[in-house]
Amino acid sequence: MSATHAHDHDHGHGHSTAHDHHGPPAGITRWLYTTNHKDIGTMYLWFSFFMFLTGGTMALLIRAELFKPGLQFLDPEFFNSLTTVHGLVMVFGAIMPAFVGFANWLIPMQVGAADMAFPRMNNWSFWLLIPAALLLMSSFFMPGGAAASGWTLYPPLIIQQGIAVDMTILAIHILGASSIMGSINIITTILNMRAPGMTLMRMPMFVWTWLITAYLLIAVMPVLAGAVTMLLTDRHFGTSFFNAAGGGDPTMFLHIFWFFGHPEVYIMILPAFGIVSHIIPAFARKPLFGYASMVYATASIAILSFIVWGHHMFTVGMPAAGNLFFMYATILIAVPTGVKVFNWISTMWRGSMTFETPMLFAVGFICLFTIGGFSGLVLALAPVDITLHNTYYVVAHFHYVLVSGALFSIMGGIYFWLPKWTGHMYNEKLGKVHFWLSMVGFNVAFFPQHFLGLAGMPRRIPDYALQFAEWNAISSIGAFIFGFSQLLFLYNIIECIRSGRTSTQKPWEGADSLEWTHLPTPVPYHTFETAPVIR
Amino acid sequence: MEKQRRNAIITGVVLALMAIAIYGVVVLKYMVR
Repeated sequence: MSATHAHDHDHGHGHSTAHDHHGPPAGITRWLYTTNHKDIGTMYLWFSFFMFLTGGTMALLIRAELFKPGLQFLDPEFFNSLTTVHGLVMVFGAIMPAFVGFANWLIPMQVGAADMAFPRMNNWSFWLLIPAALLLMSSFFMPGGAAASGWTLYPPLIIQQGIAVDMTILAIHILGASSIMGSINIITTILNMRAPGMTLMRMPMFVWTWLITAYLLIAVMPVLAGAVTMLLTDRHFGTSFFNAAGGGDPTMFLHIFWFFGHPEVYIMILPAFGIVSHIIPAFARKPLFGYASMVYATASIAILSFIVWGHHMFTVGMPAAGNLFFMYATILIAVPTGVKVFNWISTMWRGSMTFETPMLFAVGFICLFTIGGFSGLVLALAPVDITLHNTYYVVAHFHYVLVSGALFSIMGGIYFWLPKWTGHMYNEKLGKVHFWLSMVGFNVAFFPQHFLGLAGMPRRIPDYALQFAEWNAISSIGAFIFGFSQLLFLYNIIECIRSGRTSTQKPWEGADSLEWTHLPTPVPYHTFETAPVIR
Repeated sequence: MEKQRRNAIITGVVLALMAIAIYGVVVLKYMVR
């Protein structure tokens, strides 16, 4: 990558301490009116952390209920609401905003821009999240409770529920608008505001993965918006888009939803690939192996993600040719994904590796995400999926992809860039304890769910047959270990911000993108007032 | 700088129109069926 070739002399005049008087205003107005990409990035990250703890609390309620057979303390309808809102909160409230937080913090710094292209819209994108989250969470207090159809919102069930569904639909519309505005900002920044010499094929991998992710978002978020708008008109305005009694087709919703839903999976994992592609070279002290192939693999995954949605609905009765098409197309995604895993491992090969917390999370990511990828291949096989559909095998699969994939990369990324963002080092020992507790807790929680699924335990049920008791108890214990270990993470971040020891300019000697080579630590309030020149 | 600003606005508008068009196509496709 290019950053290693950049002029170091920019370090001095790009942002001197003379600019400090342009610092942030004091008090709440700083956060309400800010157009600064770092402030907005910080708010995104804290918002997503709060939503992560909220969604995690729901997950622990679910696992507590499932600790042993029989109904323990949750009403079954409330249980269904919990699984639904847990999914929505984690997808739209935790993982996506976390990556947008990273994008806000890092993209201007990594391309050598002063800020995002549309700073006011950036502020609006963030503040839209708050009413959306309030709508979603307050729907629990509506008559009949929160939406209970699963995060996929399938009709006809979703048509029959109360006002909470309308609140959920409105929340999804607002979240979608926020995502689209964020994506427009990201694409425009990357395409128009790169420093002289920062050609596309010199951009850091995180920037590349976000450029492709932002295009995916603009392509599919309106599709989800269209689907939920039609749900709304079916519920209140007498249309029958998805109502068989009126000539509509509930299966059509599945097609539209998953045309959004599968690219959405890649929206949640491509930026993770970007983060890991920074951490591994830094701690292997080698440049990323196969940079160009990484870029092409990312683009290939994004393109393929549009033609595989049918693998979520092998059991709806598509023609065999349709099932075969979606099966083969899905298997094909393993090729570019394999290229990525190969490149990360090749980057580590014969590197001078050390295993600080970010690297532990990155290596943990590779191991566990690959397990999630392989169980995805198992589910991609149409005949196998017909047996495993709607079982805990699917739950295990997507948690391996989204927790040990997306979430581990977010945690690794936070440890990696915290010194740059705050000017302080986190507690390394505590970071490692957090990693190992997360690693053990996660695997204890989710690996047994493969066995449960293979044995036939259906998902989204508050009670189950006796033969599933042991693995469920073990899974719940793991979930509690994983859940409570995140409090260590929170403590470590707060301790780092408040009283961590001062970080050096570049605490990771192998890190080579512009924010490490061209900007002091911590980063000044205004990033590049003069664009750096990249050779 | 002015040119960069103009290009940024054009890019942003084109992307926004793209998103609105996709939303319109999804809803209209099934409305006129």
